Amino acid sequence: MSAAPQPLFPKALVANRGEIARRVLRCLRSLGIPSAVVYHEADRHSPAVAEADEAVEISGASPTAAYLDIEQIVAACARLGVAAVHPGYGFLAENAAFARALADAGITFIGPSAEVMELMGDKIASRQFVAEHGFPVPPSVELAATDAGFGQAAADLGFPLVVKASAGGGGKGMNIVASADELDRALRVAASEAERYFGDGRIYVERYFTDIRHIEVQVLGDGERAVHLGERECSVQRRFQKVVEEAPSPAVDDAMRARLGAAAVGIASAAAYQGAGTVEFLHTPEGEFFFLEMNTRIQVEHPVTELVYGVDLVAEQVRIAAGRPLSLNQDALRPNGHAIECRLCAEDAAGGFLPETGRILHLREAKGEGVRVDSGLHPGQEITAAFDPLLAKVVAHGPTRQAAIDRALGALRSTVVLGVGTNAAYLAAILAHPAFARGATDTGFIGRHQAELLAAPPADALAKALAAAHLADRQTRLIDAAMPSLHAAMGSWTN
Amino acid sequence: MNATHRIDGREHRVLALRRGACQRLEIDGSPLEASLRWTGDHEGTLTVNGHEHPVAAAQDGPVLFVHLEGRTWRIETIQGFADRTEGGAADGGIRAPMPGVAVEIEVEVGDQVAANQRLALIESMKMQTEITAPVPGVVTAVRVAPGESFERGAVLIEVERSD
Repeated sequence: MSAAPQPLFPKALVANRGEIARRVLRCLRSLGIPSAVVYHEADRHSPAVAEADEAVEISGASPTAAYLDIEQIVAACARLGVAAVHPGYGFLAENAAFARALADAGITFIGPSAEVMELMGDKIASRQFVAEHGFPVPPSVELAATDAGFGQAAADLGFPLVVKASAGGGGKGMNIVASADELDRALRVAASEAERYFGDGRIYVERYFTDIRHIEVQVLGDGERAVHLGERECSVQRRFQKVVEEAPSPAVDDAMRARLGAAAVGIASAAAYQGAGTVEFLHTPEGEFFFLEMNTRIQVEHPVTELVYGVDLVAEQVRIAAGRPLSLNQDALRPNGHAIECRLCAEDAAGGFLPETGRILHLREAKGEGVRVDSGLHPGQEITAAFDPLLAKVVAHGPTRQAAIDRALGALRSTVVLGVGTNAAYLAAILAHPAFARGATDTGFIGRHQAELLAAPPADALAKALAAAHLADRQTRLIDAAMPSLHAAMGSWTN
Repeated sequence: MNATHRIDGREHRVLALRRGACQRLEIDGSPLEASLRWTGDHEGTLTVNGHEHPVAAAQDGPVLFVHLEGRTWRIETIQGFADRTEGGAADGGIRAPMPGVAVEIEVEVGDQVAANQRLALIESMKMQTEITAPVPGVVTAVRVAPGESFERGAVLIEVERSD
């Protein structure tokens, strides 16, 4: 593709940072599209800034505010003569106002239309849309929380319930209600959180399923036609945040894949979907499934699908945005092997998963057959609480699920990030757990096995680490260096 | 010479019994022979009781990061058992229990506050936490503004006790 005389866009800008900015830049390079990136001062020395053809600094009250500043980013695009913008995930990726501002400036937003983003971004409206097209949604209370019969309707649905923000998604703005006496308080908290986080206090109440699987289907659409690229299972979650993802799901056979895929393609087609999207489903032990939400962007966990289907999803997004028809046919899309992604985060698993901060003192990323690491890390980087704690994605592909697990474990064990605490050992404990090996990975997995996952390392490993720390310590080395060799040779200086 | 190290909140004692090319160490009461040969700025070979292991290590003040046999350790060196001052409000400063971003600051310098009164709201890992006054008193300093990020242990607000 790099030899193509006419690139799909004369220049494209990435409105994001970290690993996803690098991922998109890599794709633009492979498509022969000149690239640009915006960055906040905190990311000045990041690999993304070094790897882009052009980089423009943006500023804000906080680093996050800079990456959310539509006016500033659109102005930077206009100044650079950018023809298209890839938003990555997070930040402005699902922001219809951003897509409209770009369109007004004559710039292509690499993603679906603003209308589709608004529809799917509104959880109440998208549920209705999906139900109207005949696809299953979880049982819910249709009344507004202020309506007279609401309390009774909620009680009729049965507990536990989940209160969600209509403008929420991705696990934000969710509150579980175990019993009737908690309902009033939960509704108040949820509405205030929804207002605070999303500027939209509308909430809705659904039946809450425990110990189900979270299965999502990757779709690609060009507005005329849509295909699916199978499912990803993302059931291993902590506080509604995904920790480990895989494709295919150990709980999905060919027949179920066809059913889930047909539902996802049906929903995407009904919305005349353009670009890459993900339809998330709840999957019950009885084999039922319900629509949860549709994410109108590239997902964090997209690499597992890419490895299993051999498709560059970001390149497909760019082609579709450039007006090219979908080149993939459903019949030709077959999963090959198995892939697992681990989210390497700066957090202290043993210390209540609090975020860790620090400076990257030494870095060695995993390599090897079937191993892919999507990372935005560099030595010297300050890891602060200003951004999401995701540092890198350690992904492994193998011919079988067990082969993928083994390679992912090997990759985690050979990942060296010194200077900031990470959850690498915790991720390895998940992959090495017998229940994970069996594919018994519903949303209750972490809660059920947390004590084992957080078990202290063996004493002999600890002793060796302490010995290494003692010998590596600057103080020890200074004393060693200062010690006359005669005394050293004599030995036994304390006893 | 001996040192105390902290890993995941637990303390461990390392005693150096003999120095030289190969040191005899006593770790939590168990002896072992160990030596470390550097092959790069942060990489080397650790020999423990005759067995060699590749090791990576880096130091940030009192904290050593060690990667050994597939696991990374964060090992803090403590000078002694008595010297432990972190967190808490003993000095009148209310410190951040975790790194995060200030969402709302609800008081100003000079404000009279009651014990347990909410002073600020901080956000960390998509979760909001209230910062409350540990004692009744007067706000003498506000060190963060909404939107600003801070590290764990940073003083956010200072309250001078007045009963």
